[in-house]
Amino acid sequence: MLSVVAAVILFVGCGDKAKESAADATAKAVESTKEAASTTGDTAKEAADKAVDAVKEAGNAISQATDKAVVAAKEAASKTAGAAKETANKAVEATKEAASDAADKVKESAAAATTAVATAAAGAATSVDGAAAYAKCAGCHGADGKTKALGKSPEIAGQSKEDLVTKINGYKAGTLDTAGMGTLMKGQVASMSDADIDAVATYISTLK
Amino acid sequence: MSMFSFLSDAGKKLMGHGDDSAAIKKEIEDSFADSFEEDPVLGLVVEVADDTVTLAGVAKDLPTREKVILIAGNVEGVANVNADQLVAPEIIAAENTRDLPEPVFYAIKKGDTLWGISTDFYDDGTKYPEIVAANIEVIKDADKIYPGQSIRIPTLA
Repeated sequence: MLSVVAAVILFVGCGDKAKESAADATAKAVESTKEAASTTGDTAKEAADKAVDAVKEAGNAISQATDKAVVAAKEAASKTAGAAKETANKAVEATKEAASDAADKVKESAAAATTAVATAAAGAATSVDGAAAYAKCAGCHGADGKTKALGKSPEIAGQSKEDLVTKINGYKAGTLDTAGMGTLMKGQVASMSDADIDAVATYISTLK
Repeated sequence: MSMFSFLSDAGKKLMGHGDDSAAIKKEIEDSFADSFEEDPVLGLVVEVADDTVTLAGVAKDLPTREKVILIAGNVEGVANVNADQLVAPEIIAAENTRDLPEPVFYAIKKGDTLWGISTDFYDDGTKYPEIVAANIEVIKDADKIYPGQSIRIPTLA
């Protein structure tokens, strides 16, 4: 029973961390979406503003859920060991909700990025292929290419087109394994043609 | 490290008929096709080396990720599944993945009943349909549950 209390106390710590990282992620997402908006024209800006709102909402939901988890966990710690187990379960549920909200946020921002990119592409015929091809990358690398995917990848925005083409081809061939995620990347770029790779590399190199 | 262990002497006989990686990938895709799940994993890569299967891709969600791991692990001859590169939106969102619940897997033993397993994990045998529902793609046919098969034990809502 002591270990349950210990786990609950640990959990309080984790809750704070989760809250911080959720807040960080939201701030980053908001900032990056705003930047994306300023570079992709008025129609895209509108779509991006919607994405900002969606991300903000998701962020608030996460903070609230995490707050609940923290409060529940604190209550648990102060109660008897028997009651603590039950409340800890509730805290776990609350955190799972927070995680699920965060996942929804990722899905939403990817969808929003896709919309923004599609709208921007419609207005700028020259970047159609690259922007559209980048849509599926945005989930992990960010709409602006500045998210460290899974906390492991370097920022891809603004790397030179030549480097990007070399890297993507390296993943496709299975010879590049950045941060031990080469197989994951191999699956993501497997179906890309040389023209697709050229277009997406050009697009990423223009992200700032 | 997301490494999961399985009983290699039990399971569906898919290995040793040519391309093991392709056979396991097809088994995963077919399992989800049967339940009309579209794109369970974006960019799924399966690589077999001896008795270890490495999975990579972006799963639709955490339960889907767990099912894919189990389908690969339940193939005869597979002792380990490395899922370090099999991610899901929840994992991408959680910079600190320690905050995510660990998957709970259970290898079925001779004489087990779903009621008994439900009693062991939930203190309540009547919850066994939750276990069945959480393993649709993994079990596929309730008459074909066998000792050594691993299933997922979902957290009750």
